Amino acid sequence: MSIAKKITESQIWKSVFRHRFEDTPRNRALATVSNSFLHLHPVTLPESALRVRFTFCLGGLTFFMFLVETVTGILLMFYYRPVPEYAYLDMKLLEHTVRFGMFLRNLHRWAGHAMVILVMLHMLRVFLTGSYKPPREFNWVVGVFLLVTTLLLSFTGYLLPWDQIALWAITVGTKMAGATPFLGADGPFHEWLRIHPGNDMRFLLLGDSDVSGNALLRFYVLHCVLLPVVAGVFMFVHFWRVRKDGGISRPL
Amino acid sequence: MARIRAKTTLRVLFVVGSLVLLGLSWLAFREGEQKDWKRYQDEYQATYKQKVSALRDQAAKDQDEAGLKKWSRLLEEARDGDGHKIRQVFLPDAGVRDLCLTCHLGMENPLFAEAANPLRQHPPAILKDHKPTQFGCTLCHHGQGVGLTVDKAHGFESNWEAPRLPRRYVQATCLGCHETPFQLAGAERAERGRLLFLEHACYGCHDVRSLQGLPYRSFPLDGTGLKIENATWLRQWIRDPSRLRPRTGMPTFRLKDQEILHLAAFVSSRKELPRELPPPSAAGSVPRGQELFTERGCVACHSVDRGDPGVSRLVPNLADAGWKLSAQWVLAWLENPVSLNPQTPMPNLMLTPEERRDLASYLATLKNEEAGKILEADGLAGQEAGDPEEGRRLVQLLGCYGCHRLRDTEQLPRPGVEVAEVAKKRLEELPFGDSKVPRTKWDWVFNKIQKPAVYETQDMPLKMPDYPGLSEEEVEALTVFYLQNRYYELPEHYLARSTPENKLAASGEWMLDRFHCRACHQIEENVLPRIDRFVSLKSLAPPRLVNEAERVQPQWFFQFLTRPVVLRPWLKIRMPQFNWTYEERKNLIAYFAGRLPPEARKNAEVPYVLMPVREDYDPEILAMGEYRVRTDKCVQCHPISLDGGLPEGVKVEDLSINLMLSKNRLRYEWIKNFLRNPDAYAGAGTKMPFVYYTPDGVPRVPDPEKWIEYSTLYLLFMEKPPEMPKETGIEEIRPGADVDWTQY
Amino acid sequence: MAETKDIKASHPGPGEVFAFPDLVYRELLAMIVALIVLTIWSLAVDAPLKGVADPNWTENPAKAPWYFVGLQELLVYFDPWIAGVSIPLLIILGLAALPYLDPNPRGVGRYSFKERKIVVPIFLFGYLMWFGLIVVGQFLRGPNWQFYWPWEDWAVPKPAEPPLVNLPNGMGWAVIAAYFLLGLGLAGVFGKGLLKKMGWVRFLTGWTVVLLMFGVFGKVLLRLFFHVKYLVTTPYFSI
Repeated sequence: MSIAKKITESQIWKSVFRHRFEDTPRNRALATVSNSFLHLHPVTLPESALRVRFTFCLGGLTFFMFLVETVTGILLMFYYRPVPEYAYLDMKLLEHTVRFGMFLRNLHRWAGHAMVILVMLHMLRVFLTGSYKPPREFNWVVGVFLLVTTLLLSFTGYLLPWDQIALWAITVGTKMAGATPFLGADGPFHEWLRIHPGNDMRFLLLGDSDVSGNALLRFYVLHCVLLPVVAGVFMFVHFWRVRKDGGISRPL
Repeated sequence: MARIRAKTTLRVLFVVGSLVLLGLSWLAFREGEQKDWKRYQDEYQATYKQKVSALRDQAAKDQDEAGLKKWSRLLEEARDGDGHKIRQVFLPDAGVRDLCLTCHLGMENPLFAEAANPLRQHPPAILKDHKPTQFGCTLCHHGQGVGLTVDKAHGFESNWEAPRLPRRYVQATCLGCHETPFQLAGAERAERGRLLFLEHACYGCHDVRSLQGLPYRSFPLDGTGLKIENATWLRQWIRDPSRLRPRTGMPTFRLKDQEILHLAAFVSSRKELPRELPPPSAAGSVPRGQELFTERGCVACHSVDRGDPGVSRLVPNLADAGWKLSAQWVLAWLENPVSLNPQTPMPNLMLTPEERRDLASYLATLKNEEAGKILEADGLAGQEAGDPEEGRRLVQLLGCYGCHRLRDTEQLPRPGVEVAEVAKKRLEELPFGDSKVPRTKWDWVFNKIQKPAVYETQDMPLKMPDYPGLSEEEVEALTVFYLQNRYYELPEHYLARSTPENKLAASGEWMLDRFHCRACHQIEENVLPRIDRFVSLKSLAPPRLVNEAERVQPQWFFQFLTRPVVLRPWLKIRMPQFNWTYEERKNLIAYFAGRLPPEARKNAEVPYVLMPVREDYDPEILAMGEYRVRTDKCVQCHPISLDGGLPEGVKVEDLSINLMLSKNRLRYEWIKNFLRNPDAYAGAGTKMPFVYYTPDGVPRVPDPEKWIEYSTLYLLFMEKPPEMPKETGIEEIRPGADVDWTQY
Repeated sequence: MAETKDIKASHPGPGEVFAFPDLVYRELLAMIVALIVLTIWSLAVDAPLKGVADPNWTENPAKAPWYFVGLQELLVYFDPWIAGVSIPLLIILGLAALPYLDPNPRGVGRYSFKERKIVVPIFLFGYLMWFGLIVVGQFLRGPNWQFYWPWEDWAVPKPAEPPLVNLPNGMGWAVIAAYFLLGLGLAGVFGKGLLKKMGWVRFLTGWTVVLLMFGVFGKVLLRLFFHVKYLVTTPYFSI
């Protein structure tokens, strides 16, 4: 037997790849079905759904960006501590001393922006192809949740470098929360519920009446743990729904 | 059978894409390389090993056992090496993260004292108290610290606010932790800057938190109309002070002719003095006045020669006093300066009316030729008179009231920017105008002080006047002071607060400077008073005050500083009367005590001293003391009577102070010390002889200590002058002539 | 082995292909292209980092992240409780409710305008306004949120805005009421039986949200051309 044959006939190989690679329909089907990652795909699908100029791969690329963010994010977590005394200097250390540190940071940031843009474009595409109409209504709603989650992920991550851009952007952003009617210390009718800067919506977001170390830690946990988990759960539902609603939409 | 394959175009795209990605990864990999710091570390290791080897070989040649062992051991340790390591000092509470030691490896290694940077040794003295592991580097030098290339580490990046300070300004940061540079070793430049700030009275326009409550620098504007009657002089002065009086402290404002006229009109209209001026008097004697000028000590501070500056910038040069001052004002001033300007440093010389007349007449003749020429070329006399109201507006605009008190302006804010405000400003807030000044904070400050109008633009007229008298070195010192006159937000354990002694010393020095004590008195061993230049005879000069606190009793000191009395009648020059507050006098005395070396301080307690009590001693002891004082002929040079006048036939330079004053004036220990070694306690060259010991400490009399004590006690307790020996004059008193030796 | 039992070699039907390799490969290519673009961009452009956060030094202008800067721009025209809270909430709720408010079943699975002449312009209007506000807020706003063209120097201050007027409350409420009544009325009358198709609840909800969206634009115009600040002013809130 040739080397290749020896490898592909071994027990190790066969336990990992549970199908052959000869071009038979069976193998093609098994390649999809027996793969933990790929079996979300249908085994077969209409050729029209392959057209790039239909979906522009926007949804998939958004998910891809999410994966890029996860990988680069975890790598960044090795170098960053979410405490005001450490955060900014950790960024500087990352940029100046860590090998590929600047590149890693750039990847994370631009992939983040790309994800936001892509998710908005994906929404536009889905709308323009009417792919929110029955039976796909609820998937659209889940998609809106994902949009919000993406924006929140980006927003919470924005604070982490702890530089002037970060601080003031989040200050501006959360000031709006302070203007919530009834629940915000600067909003209309806040006296009715005895809301003040120490217990309003903004305080809930920031853990303090101003953007400080509490906000940093809070946003870090949101950014690295809670929101990714929420996004993951929603994505799970979203992708599953795409399959169950009949795959990518096409003319009825 | 063929394997599963996608369409060919797709596969081609995949290959192409992968190759592109590979290429990009290689690009990214290249960017990640950092070479410089590793190179420096290699260089350091190599050089270090080289040096140590050489030293070891030298030690072997010199047969130096200890040296050989040491160098061999170090060489062994160096051979092991660490590979390339980044070294960090991280102080999160100070916001410091310094990687400087990664490249600056020879910082604490004396072998690298002469090496090139970055391997060069840091000056070791300052590192003793400022270990890099405790303070990092950027706290003192600024710069970014957290970088591994020169530009990044030194902070020349747009998002780093504090780049590394040039070495000439590095002392600016001392003030971030130390409250004051006064007596701070290593901060001499900052201290010079601080002193210049005080000398030029920058605080008149620029508030400084660490220097509060300072007096107005100059004469109040309120009475200047009566002080200066010569309108031409006034105009020329306002136009260009340093032309009229070189080395004056008044800066040069950039004024148009019309503005000068307005200002002069306003100043001339201010005729409110706190007291009435005396009526014009008959002319006094000019030659006598000139004599008095030296005799009474005016010459110690003031100069009548245009080219010769006085003792300091604060003291006006009198070469053109005849042009400038009104005669009546001069009379009032000489009578009591404080009555015309409560904050003046000029003391009351306690002159008689005749003396005042003579001096005033003399001053009126001081009409320097060069100044006269400037006044002649005035050219503004013909023009329309200025408007005093406009002048007042200009005074408030230009900030004259910062140095010259003016009624109704005490509460106005200082016309200039508070020093801490500038120090705190970010680079983007500093207005560079249209100038070509390099865009750094220190260059901004330096150029501003050197040429205040440099940042002026159409929209932003600048009012700070020019200080032509400042040399480049002085401007640099002021820049050092200015750059860091603020309090860092460092945690308390970094700060080095001033001790009370330090504060006291600073205020004491301030008083000595402001009131020009050193013009007349020698207070340090190696600094001679200015008056020595004009008074040749030491005996005619004011007394030496080196270690004065050790000598005099504090209560006497206090009394004397408040109301001076005649101590040496033959001296024409008199201690003047200063207008000091109780606190100021108390602090001055404490300062003098604090100046003493630590060993001397135990004999110089302030503010109280316990003098010996008569009842503690046998009358015999006093009798022995009296005997000693008589036989040693102290009376030959020291008058002992308060009303008997001076000893006859004695030259002035041999006279010394009245000994009846000792009991209230001198400290007990000091008298004894003085008798032991006059040169040490009254200065080398004193006429006081070595009575009890030779200059080498060998006793000249039997039991010198006992005799010293007895004489001292006698001096402290004597009620009246001792009985003089029968002979008059300077005849030798035969030792033992009228003493009953059987008693001893 | 488990896999043999349940696969009945599902052959692709007419017009169908296998996901592996056709779909999967295309996805892989898309990822590679995206990665290339991302890598080039990350090598060329550095993520910005300004000086360390300093609560005592306000950036001027202090801008929210770009995706929120549209809302920050709206702050010029509305109070924070509207621009920062109500509008975002309405956007989210409106978007989420879209499938339930669109009664038109046609146009699924293809790009078509002809079949969806009402909903496409409405959505696109909102979408473009969103991005338009972002462009204005991100690129055309300088210090003190003054309007600066991209080529203008931010160091030169702008003259103050001409003073703004507030409509008297009666007039303001009247304008608002008239606008909604007119809008709803027009939709009902010209809507080709929309009311019947959607039912009252959906009709009112949907068209109110749409009218609010156009109303935002309208208020922007009122402010820009008529210098109106508030339509209605009360001590508790102003619109």
